Amino acid sequence: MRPLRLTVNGDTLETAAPAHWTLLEVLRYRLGLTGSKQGCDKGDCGACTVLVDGRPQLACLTLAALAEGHAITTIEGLMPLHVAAGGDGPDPVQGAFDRCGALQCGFCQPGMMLSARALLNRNPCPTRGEIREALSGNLCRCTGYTQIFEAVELAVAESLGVAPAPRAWEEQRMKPAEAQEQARRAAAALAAARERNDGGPGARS
Amino acid sequence: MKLEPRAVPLQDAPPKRKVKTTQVVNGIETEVEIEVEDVPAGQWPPRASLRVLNHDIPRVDGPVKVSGAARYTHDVRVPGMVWARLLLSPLPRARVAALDLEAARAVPGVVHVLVVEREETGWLGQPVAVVAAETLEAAGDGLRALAARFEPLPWVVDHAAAVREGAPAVGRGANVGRPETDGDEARARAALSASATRVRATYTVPVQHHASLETHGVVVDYRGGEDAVVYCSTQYAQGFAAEAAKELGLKAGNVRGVVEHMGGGFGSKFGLDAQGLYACRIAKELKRPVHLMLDRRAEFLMSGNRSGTSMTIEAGCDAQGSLTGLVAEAWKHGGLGRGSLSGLPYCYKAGAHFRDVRSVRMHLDASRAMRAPGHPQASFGMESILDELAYAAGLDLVEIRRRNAAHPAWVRQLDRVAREIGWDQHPHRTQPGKPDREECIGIGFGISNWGSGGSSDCEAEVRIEKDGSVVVACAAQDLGTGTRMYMAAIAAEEFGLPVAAVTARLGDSRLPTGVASGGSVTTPSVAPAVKDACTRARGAFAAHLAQVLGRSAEGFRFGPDGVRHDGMTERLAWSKACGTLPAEGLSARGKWQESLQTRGVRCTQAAQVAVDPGTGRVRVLHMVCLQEVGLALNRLAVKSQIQGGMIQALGYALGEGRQLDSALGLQLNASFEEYKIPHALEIPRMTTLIDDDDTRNGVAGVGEPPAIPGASAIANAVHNACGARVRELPITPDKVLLALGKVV
Amino acid sequence: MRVVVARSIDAALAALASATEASRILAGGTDLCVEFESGRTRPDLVVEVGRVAELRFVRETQAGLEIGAGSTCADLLRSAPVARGADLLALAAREVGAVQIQNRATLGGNLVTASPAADLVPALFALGARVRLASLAGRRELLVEEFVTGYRATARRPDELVESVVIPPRPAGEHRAFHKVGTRRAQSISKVVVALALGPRGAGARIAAGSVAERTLRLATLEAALARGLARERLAQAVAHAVALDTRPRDDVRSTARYRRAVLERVLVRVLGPWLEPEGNAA
Repeated sequence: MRPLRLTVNGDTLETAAPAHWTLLEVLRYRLGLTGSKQGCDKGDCGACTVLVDGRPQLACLTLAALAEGHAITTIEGLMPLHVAAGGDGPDPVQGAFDRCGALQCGFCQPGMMLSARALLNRNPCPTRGEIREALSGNLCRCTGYTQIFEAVELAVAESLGVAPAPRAWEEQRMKPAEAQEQARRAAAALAAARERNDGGPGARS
Repeated sequence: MKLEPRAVPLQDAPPKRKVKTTQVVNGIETEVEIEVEDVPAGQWPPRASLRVLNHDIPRVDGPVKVSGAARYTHDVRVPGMVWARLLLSPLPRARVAALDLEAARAVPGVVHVLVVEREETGWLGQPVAVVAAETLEAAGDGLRALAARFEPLPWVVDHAAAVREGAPAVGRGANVGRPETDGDEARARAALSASATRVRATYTVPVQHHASLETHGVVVDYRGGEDAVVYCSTQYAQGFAAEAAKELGLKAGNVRGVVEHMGGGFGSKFGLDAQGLYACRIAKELKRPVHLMLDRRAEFLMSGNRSGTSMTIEAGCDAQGSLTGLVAEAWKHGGLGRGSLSGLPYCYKAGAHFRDVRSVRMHLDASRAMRAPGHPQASFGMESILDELAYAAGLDLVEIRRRNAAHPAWVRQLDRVAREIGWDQHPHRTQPGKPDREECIGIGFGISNWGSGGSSDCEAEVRIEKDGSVVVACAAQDLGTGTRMYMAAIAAEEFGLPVAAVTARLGDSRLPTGVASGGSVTTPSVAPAVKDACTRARGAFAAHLAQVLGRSAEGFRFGPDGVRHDGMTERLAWSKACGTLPAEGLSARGKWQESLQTRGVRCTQAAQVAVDPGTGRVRVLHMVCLQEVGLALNRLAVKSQIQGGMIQALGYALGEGRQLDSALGLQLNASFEEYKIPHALEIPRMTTLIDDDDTRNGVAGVGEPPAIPGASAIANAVHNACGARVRELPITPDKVLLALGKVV
Repeated sequence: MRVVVARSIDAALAALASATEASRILAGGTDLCVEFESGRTRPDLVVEVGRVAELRFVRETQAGLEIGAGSTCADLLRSAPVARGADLLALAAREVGAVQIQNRATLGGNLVTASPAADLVPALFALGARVRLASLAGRRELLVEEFVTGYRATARRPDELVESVVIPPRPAGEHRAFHKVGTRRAQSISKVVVALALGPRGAGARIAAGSVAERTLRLATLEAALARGLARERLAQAVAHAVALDTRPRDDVRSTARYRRAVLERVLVRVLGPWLEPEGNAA
């Protein structure tokens, strides 16, 4: 047993665990934070993704002791931290996942949303390709991913204050010309924002 | 207005009559005779008048899921709980040579060691012992302390070894099962001889894993006494509870099965299973709650799978491309189980046909139902041979399908799907392309169907409270497909309320009779029962209001602007109307009704791929799906289901398949590191279309059909791109090069 | 199991002084945590160096670019000096797992684990990297090919710590390429990985390949042919010869030996072809 002092979702928590325990084991079996899911225990599925100093890491491959002194964010902390930072209600990523139906069984979602949050923190207007890349460590067996990508794009569009490109599930109801026009406008807004960001300081690290 | 509290009785049970129907039991389609109530058939409102249903509705459990608060079985913690872990047979067949029980019991924290197989194991991954301890860590230490030793006994884990003369027997009986035959062999062979073009080939599909993100498992909360609660990751809460009651020696009604949220099942989670059985035994022994979840390796080895198949098909057509005959000889690879394979010809008419199907048994876990059991295998054989025939006869790949499809719906779907994928502009419509560039583009097609009827036993209850709140309840579980959400949405539609005003309760065996959620039966079971309960509740509410307001019961209408009566101009707000109810509110129980469901869902898909003939790498660029769904309850959820099915098929096409080392008796890919399910970088552009030309106004399950034809379409597209005909899934780069003759 | 959390190189070396063959160093933990979970490893001593800040740096020196062994793949991806001086390493780092793994997996860990399928190691081979080792007994430096000795085996003694690698300055006019063929992009262990550097007219070629033998290796036969001024027309033949002679691929769960040979050949021909002169122009 070894004493541990972890900063999780802004709180300092003290506990003790065997020296070789991972952060996931400590979160789930010591701290009662079961939002981080246990899907494979060896770094293959991404369901246990947490943020360590804002960067996505796999809690199942992170020795708990090495997480000491770092700011850990789990899914339970996403909304409280958003509110503490002056936001209103859930993190925009959470809201977008909900509204886009970007989940079915929901087991992969905590990790998926934290990967998305980390992406948007370092790159506020990612392309579809960058979204795919950022989520490529999180497996989902239910949804076929498309509505997940669309959810991240919705969160991006809303933060830019533009209408998102038509989602695949909306296209069927739209006139082709109308859908194309909306897609064009969204792409232009995204490109303009990206240009601004690339020029700005600290837009990407 | 003053009102005398008054109970609202249910109607007397109406007379019953018997009807024949196809039902899906634990994922398998079966013909049964059922009793249905002889009542006037209920009807869904016309589509144009729907306010909530057939729209895009966010899930009612979305907020709890995105916040991480949703509790899965793995997350359940109850006081005094012990943690259990399994020791599995590391070999397909072995003698248990040593098991140091004393050492395991001596490990600090270990409270129980249960030996479930002392002598001989008969399949890879068969549980041998269970260790329960105060902590998960101690349970693991206990497993290691057992220092189990196994002496190998002869086994068979592949087809060739299993059918060889003198092969080690798998259980009792022959390794090769009795032939299941269908059709007239002489006629079929004569038709083949007379056909203008004929082809013959052997196709193989591997064992595929369900790969649910949440593994199987249970928390049995039993502390002695007469009652227990079982929290289970299951597709059948009531069945699970009943089985657990038997094991715990308790009355069936005294064990409550709870599944608040579950992380996917896809057909693998119907029963109590070994882990449920052992958890119950240990709980009974210790009179303490037990937490037993499989780890990922155990999930791969012992929780079932989609059976593999090897099939040799010969098919012929006339000069116009009409199929004249088809003969199929197939073997199913379902481990200790029988496996499943749908009929061939699959979804097409074939003049005369004959098939001979046998199962080959091996020392591996028994296959289970998996999303459209038997269909993807049959589809791969059928769509492949159809393409080979078309090329041999120089016919257009879409045209040969239009000509032979067994239902006109597919013809209309093929036309639309071909348009969406760009078939008319595609250069290789009657001959495959050549491997003459770094990126060869190809297109392939496939069609599918699924019966998808509901269960006549399903019931639901609706409660309207005096404060205006509404609760809908059914014991069925939500696997993530959105059951909770459409239960609420149906009530919202019926009472003219916002969806958020309705609470849906499910996943609890004590609620009205649900259904085992597999084979796309949940929606056509639960939705009619909920709709019927709502209709009855509206009737009872109207009867009550008739008394209160002195109006005829028939004239009441419930809508978004409140309750109105045909003979009145003013409206009564919903909350006001509910305020007139007695203190206990109003409740009504509904039953499944045939008239509210529809059966037979057809689906057509196309895939466009890019193949690099240098490395053999395949990238899927675009997939199109057009699917009948009957009345869509929630289009957003239906599309998610369809896309999920398409991507599971993509996995089956390109990456998934159990790999065994026959000599060592090991599964080489019992992890997500080596068993590749698709991830974000592999997802093609997806065009997902609900077939709105299907105007049947009944609900249907939609989950199975989209998982069927995608793998066939991708395989055909690979061949169409560059001429690499890979007849064995998954289509890995080495097989593509082999098919192109680029490796020797 | 004894666990020592080192906060400095000195502390790590002191702890390692008593290390045995069964001891392990833990940096990012992406390999070792898996072994803990499976119960495969119960080392007598674990020295954690994940928080030794002195091991996490990139600096340009006289000898070339020096990169601390504790640098994560994400560090390599974000470093401008790495992008300039050790581009192959950045390209390789992008292929290690997905983002979450890149944030933890370290250069030193990839090197010391010495998996034949490692992504960073072939890049280090092609860059001509030198490995700096330290122990209480002193410091030494090895060429990366001397450091990796076999299947998951290295020349590191139990008491030694890999401190850094040094990438020599890039020679003028050197072509470089990195190519990985996996089951798919990201979260996929390689079937074949190629990293190479090639001077004008084939001079100083370093052609490294992973997943085609029990360890990462250089295709010496091909390098020699290139140094002799191999003409474009003869490339395919020379590559086939070299692959047959220099590699020892095996069938495994990810692929077959014949596939690995075929694809290694094709990738080399594709990558090298454009840089070679046609017959008449060759030396």
